[in-house]
Amino acid sequence: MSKSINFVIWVAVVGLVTANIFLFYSSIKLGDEITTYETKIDQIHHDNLNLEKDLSEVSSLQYAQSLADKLAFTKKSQPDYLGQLNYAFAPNQ
Amino acid sequence: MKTKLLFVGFIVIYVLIVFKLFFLQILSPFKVNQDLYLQSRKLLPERGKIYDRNMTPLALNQNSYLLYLEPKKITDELKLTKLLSGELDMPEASLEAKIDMTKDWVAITSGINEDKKNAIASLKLDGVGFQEDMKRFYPEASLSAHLLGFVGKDKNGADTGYFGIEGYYNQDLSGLPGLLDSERDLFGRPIFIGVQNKVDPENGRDLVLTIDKTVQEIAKKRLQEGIEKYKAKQGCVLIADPYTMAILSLVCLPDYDLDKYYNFSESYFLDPAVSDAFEPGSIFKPLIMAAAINEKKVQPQDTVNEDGPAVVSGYKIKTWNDQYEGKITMTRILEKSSNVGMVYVGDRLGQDDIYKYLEKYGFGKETGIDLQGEDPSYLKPKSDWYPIDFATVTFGQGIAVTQIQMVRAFAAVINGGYLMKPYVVGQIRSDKETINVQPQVQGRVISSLTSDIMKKMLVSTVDNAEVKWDRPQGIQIGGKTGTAQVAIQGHYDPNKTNASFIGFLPADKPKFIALVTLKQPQTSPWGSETAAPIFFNIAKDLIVYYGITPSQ
Repeated sequence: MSKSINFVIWVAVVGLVTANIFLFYSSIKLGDEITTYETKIDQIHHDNLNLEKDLSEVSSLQYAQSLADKLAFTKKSQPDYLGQLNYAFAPNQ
Repeated sequence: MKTKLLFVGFIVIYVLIVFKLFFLQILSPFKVNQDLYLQSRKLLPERGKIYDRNMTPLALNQNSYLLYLEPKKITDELKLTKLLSGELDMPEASLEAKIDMTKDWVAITSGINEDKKNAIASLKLDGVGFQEDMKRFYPEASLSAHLLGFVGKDKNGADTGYFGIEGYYNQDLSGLPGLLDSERDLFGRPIFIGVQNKVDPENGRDLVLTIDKTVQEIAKKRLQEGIEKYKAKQGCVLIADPYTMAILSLVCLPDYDLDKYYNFSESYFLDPAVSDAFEPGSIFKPLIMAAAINEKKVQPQDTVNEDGPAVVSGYKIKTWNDQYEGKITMTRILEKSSNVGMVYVGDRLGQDDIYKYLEKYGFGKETGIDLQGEDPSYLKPKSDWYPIDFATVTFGQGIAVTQIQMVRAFAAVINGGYLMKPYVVGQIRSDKETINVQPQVQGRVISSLTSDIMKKMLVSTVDNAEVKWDRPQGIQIGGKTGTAQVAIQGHYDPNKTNASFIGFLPADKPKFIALVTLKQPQTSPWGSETAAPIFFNIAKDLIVYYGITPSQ
């Protein structure tokens, strides 16, 4: 009789300890996950701001102007038409 | 026996733990430091963004960092000051002065960008840390400096908007901070069975302006060219929809660099278009003419004999070129900008009605535009007016108005007579709601019939002006030049003028009204030779942009 009681107590103690360890492990795991997601949210927000900045930079008139300058899409690059050709043929007159 | 002993020992320890916990949590809960694991953190809201009417951003937020030092952790102060001062462009002496070894934490500078932060972090200096922060980013640089205003710090070190939209809408843009109460273990992980309360921050509201970025760019470019060409001290362009007074562009030069506002004096921050009063000169004439026509005191074809200077209270009032045409119509008065003719119109209108209409046009009171720093200007009490004041005000001298007041009043003349409240924010957006700002009528100044008559007279004024401008063909444009002498120490200096032009197009149903002002142009004192060409250059660009087709 006492053996069976001892057995039940041992099983209960082992069960409680196991449950305790499991609970402890779960809480740590959950805490880790929360920390990970918090970091990821911060990082994504951080990246979003950078992307938004990059996007607005390339869609700005400032950028378009700098690109136009780089590609020579300026008034300077307009072709010069020879409107009065007689001057071109009479350089020594 | 050994097993029983172990078991009893185990039970005893277990009971002791239970008693200790009972003591800590039930009997003396307040003696334990409750904040041992509880961490509270203020969650900062993101400042609202500012867009133009086409949802292209004018002001965004970007990541930045606050650099701080923990003096007690610094191992080599000499090396730290030398390397940091180089990276921060800060004199070593200034940096040394900031390092107080008695303190645990000292803020050095804020607004450090990602690249700079990485460069400093790579130096691996002891006692240097970074705190995440945000700062404004302007994709179009200083395209709208006066209009936007800037974000600085208040006395508590918090971000605060100053001037322009940032100042006026600071509360909307700032948002509300949130709070995070979280119990954390020794490694900083949340204890999920502990306290975990989070109140999310409410981000600032986004503002969608009535400003069109392209119109703003055109106005700024043309104004810049004009200021350089005519060697003016200052210049402004204000473009609006005359029916709603939604501002399409507002630019004044010289302006300031929004990213380095702290390098400029306060005088640069004020927007001259809303904060400075000026004597408008001849662009004021149509307002008085409209009042006289509205009161049926004159008709466009009525004539006056302009045979010499008008004399009022002993003062001689001449035309701008001291030439007189004899019998001229009311329309011709505007065409040749006759001061003598306007004195006659003012005389016909009468002193009481002149003052009544100045009040109806809203002078001497704020327009209510949603920009910080608006000046109401000053309309002196009627009892303080002399007869000469009533004469000179008919041609825009002896009265000070702001440019926004002038455009609003002129818009009333051409939009059917409605005095509209000017505004720059068309929509306020938050996660919860979107508020659309509706045009607001502040009063009725003249009838729609008078307005139609005035539009025709103003078209004729441009068509038959003394100066022939290079203007777009086939599109009816109405407008008026202005040249006001500047009062210096109680006298008008004929060599110093404020030149201006106010115009609208297409005349039958104006798409926009624009006011161009130049302060003391050097190449010519006349508005017709300085401000008007700038207006027509802007008009040409806007005709293409809006796809306005010729009607003639």
